[in-house]
Amino acid sequence: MKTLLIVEDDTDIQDYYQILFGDLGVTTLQAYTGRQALAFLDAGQPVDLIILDIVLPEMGGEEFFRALRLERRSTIPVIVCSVDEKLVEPLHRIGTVQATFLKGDPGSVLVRMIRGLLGLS
Amino acid sequence: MNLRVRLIGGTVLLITAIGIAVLLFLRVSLKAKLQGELQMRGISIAKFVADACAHPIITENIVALQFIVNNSRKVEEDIAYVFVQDQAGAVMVHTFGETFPVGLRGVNIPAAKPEPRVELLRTNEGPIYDIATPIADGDLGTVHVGLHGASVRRSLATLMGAGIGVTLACIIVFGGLALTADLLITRNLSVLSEAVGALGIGDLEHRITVTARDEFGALGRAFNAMADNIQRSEEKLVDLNTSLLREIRDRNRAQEELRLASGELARQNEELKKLDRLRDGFIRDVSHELKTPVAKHAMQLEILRNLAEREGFAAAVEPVVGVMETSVRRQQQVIRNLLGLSRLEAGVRGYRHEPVRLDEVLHGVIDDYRSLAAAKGSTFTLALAPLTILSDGEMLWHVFSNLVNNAIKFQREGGRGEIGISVAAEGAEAVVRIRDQGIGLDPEERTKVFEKFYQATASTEGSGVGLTICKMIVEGVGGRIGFESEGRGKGATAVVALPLGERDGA
Repeated sequence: MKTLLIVEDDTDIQDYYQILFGDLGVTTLQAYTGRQALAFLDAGQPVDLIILDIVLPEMGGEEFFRALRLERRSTIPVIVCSVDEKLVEPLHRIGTVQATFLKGDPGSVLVRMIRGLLGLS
Repeated sequence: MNLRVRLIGGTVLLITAIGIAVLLFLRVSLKAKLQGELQMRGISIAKFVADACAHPIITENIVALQFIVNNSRKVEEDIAYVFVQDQAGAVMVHTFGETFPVGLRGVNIPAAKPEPRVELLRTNEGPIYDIATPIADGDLGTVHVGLHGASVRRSLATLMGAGIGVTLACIIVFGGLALTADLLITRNLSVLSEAVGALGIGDLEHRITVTARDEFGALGRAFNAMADNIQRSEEKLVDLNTSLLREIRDRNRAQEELRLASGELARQNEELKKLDRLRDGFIRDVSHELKTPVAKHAMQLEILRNLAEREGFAAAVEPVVGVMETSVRRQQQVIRNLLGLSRLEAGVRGYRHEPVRLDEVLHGVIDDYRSLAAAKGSTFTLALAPLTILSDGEMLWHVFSNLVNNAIKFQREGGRGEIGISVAAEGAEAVVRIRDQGIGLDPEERTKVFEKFYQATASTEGSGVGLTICKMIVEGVGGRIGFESEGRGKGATAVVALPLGERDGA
């Protein structure tokens, strides 16, 4: 069973993701800040894909991504989700972002991305 | 040594020296002359006597001889004696009175006849010139005439005395003259040196009162002229200095102002940079804050639709959900374009140069406005050639959206108008025409519509951006925009002509 780590501070959007990913047959971990996300990783949770929002309290998406890619040298695939593609640009300079999803676009697009990256049908 | 001493001393010394020299010379030459004269006199007397004695000697007339001798002695004062010697040298007659000085006997023997011989004798009575003249060539004897030489000395002494007197007088006269000259010079010099001194310590007013017309007068006038010049120059210098100081002060002030202005400028620059950063941050924040709720709407609508489909009430909610979805999509587009526009205006975003399918952009716009057009009773008539140009699709969407919105908005009252939209290549341009059958524009309005704040009616649909910005965008991507209209009530056509690049086309 694949595990998805969803980093998003807006609970409405977290709920939306839950509904959206319901049929995927994956386990979801919900982190509301970058720090919480790192805690999940530190706890040794096996994570196959990270859904990352940029604007987060305490530790933002960019900071988390830097810690992920540069400090921990993690190669876990990341789909960055944001309302504004401009906010995603800095992350490309830090490391590999597997995909970018613009919030508000049809959810099916995001699901297709996840299926592709996790190798699901 | 001062002038006076030198002048007078010099004069005195000079005259004294000249005097001494002259007197010495005179003394020497005169002495000789006088002595010569004396001797000549003596010789002539002696010769006379000799001649006179000749006969008496021959006749052996001693008395006559004595007589002659005595008389001849009286001829001159200076004759000390006269005596006659015979051939043998014996004294025949003399004027000595009783005794004949022994010492005289062998004196002054004329060596060569018939010349007289003079011999100087030094006696108790002083120098005596003994002049021995041969009588009858010495055959008869010799006449001796003794002349006192003292007269010479006396004459010389007198002459010398006179000479010395003259010299002294000269000394006094010339000394006096020298003194006078000195006084004259000194006085003038002191006036001059006083004037020069005054000038030297800075008294530029000092002038010499000139009365004389001689060289000193000229010097004095020259001095005055010089002092005038110096005073004038000084005044000019003072003026120059004052104006220079003023200029320096002004320049310093200007520099100070410049420095302040420069500082102010730097400060303002910093302010502007800060504002720039704030504005960029603002746009980013606004962007995020605007987009997030809209995104959430889209998400929720998606959930609703899925739920409706699952629960089987999709058909019931379709109209509502459909409108909401359209609205959300428009919102998203509007926000995207607004932010893109604001970035464009802020210079953050430049015009893109990407392949744009004009027909697709217009299709998109038409889709957005379909429901609105339908609500207003307008229909679209399309002739969209699939043209691709290199341009900024996002911004063009903006423009066309605005134009289509206007076409719908300015329909005639209750009119069921037709909106004709065409895309076609015309020469080197891709031309988009949006024709409506609305209220139209009169000739003046056709250009005025592009002015800012013209017909400032708030738009409820579309991006709310005026024709002014449309013009800015179209011209920014190298195109032209304008309106064609046959007048009020005859509809209008918005024409947008964009450059068709070499490689552009279908």
